Amino acid sequence: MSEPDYDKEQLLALIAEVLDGRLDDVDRESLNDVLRESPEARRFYRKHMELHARLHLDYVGGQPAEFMPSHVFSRRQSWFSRRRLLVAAAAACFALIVGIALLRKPEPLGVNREFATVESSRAARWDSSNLPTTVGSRLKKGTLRLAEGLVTLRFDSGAQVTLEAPAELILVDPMHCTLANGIVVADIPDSAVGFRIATPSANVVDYGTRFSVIVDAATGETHTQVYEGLVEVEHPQSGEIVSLKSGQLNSADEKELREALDGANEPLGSMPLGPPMREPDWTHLETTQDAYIGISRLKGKVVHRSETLLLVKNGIPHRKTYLGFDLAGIDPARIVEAELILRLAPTGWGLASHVPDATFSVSGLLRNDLLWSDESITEETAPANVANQAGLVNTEVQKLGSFLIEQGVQRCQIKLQGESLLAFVRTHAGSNVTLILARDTAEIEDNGLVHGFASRRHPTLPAPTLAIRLTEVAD
Amino acid sequence: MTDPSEEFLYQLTDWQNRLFGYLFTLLGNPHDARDVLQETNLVLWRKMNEFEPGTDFGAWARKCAYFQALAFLRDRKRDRHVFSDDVLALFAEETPSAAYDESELSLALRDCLGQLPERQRQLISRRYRDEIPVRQLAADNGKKESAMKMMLMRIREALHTCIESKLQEMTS
Repeated sequence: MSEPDYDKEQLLALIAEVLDGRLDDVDRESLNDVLRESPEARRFYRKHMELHARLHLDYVGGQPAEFMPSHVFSRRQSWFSRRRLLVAAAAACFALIVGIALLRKPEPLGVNREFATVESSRAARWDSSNLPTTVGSRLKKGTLRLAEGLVTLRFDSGAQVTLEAPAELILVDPMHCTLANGIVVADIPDSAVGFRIATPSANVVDYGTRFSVIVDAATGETHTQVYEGLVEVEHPQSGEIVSLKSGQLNSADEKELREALDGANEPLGSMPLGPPMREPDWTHLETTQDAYIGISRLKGKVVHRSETLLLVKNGIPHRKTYLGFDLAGIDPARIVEAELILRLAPTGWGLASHVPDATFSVSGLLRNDLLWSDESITEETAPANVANQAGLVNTEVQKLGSFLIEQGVQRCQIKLQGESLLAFVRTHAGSNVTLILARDTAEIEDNGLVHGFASRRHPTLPAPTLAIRLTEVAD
Repeated sequence: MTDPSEEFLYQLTDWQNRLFGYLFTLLGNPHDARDVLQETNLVLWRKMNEFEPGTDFGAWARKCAYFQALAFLRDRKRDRHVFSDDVLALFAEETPSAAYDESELSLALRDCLGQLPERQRQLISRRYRDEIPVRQLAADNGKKESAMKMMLMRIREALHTCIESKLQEMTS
């Protein structure tokens, strides 16, 4: 769509003055000038005035209804019979005609109409849904259950809604959907202002904005965060409403609607962790130390995001993960293969929509004598770390390899092999080694997904593992 | 529908809301629009014999409404006019496409109003049914007037989009 050739905001303000009967001479002149110059502005003006007129008629007008036989407009009639009867009724009472806003309770329209499209899909796996799920499919009223991945829907109203697994979304109409559980990120253009996402504990109504809604599957609690614009969160149980502006978030459960909080860039909720992955049949050395740096502070207080996951994020804060393996007693000459195995698990922090396909780098710390422990490591004391930046001190590390995690993937096993890793392990066998994991890909917007890898404290998933294959002992 | 008077009555009824919308656009307030619409209806009624079934009733009725609006404005003080004559003429020349059946439009609007969140529906109803000025609505809701205007505008935009999509559903 091309830019309008007039100032839309100015015209809207002038329209408001006209409608309020408060147009002064200066306004009048501006209005005439704008409309004289631009056919597009006239179209816009006409559109607004006609709708206003129609609303006026619908509420104030419609007197003829009282004079027309009520059975004429019974709801079940077809369009055609209604038209014909309208003529008959009109003939009976012409003198009284001023308007015909007659139909008080229409049937809901278009139950079987399609009103949204599956626009894109990343690494998606669906649970039983009663709607088609391939990209390009047109969607009508129904339920989508996304087991894994990331799927973007576009409603015909213009609303774009990205669903992050695991999630269940019920499509209602072009301006309305219900999130039973999971995460959606909504991007609402002007055409879809008023778009509503209902949840078990709230109604989130948009006023032209980008925001996310998370519904906790277990509790039904709703977390809403606004990135841009304005939304209103209605609490159906109490009728209360909280407005959220850019950067604000709040939560609601069945009992209460909580007030708007400012500024947190981070957590929105915690999603359940996945089932354990199968292990390959190798000789494994699990981490003896592991930790992540880049602790966030909320109002000055340190907030620990996870005890069991090692977090990685390229945004604020920059989170890197340090892995310590004890290779003491292993003869470098016997190592013929090496593999680093990590398990990615959902952290529940941040939005996958805000992080594209992401590349991660694994680096090896060149010195073995830089001691750190997972208890005490910090942004400042972490070896080779450039504090509060994405990078590492290049002269102190050696890059061993990288891997890609597709957008939307939150559960997988990663295996990293290669000559560099093997050489590094051989060089450093016989002592402690430190590997550093960082994400090269920055988030596109704040509050991007935080990737999490199972740590040695994880209750179900295996710790980060350095799998090595040794040759038979040679005499 | 071969009876000319039946066709005429059907068309006149069908066009009431659109004529009102048209006059509202030209005159800028519902009361004047209503007065001029009644004048227009009388004129159309008197000229019923000039109407040929099967021709464009809407164009004919709009032209008539336009002249009635001009006559009405001439009788008024100048400062009540929203538009200068040349801009009025521009509006009169540009005929919006009237592809939709009036009753479908009305139905679509009702359906879309029904879909608005309760809070927005209340705002619309207070603005239009109770005819409460924006200033007052803003004060009642603890909002700035500009914010309230914007909110109403956005609701109207949303309604408009909704109506268009409903109408497309009905005709497709």
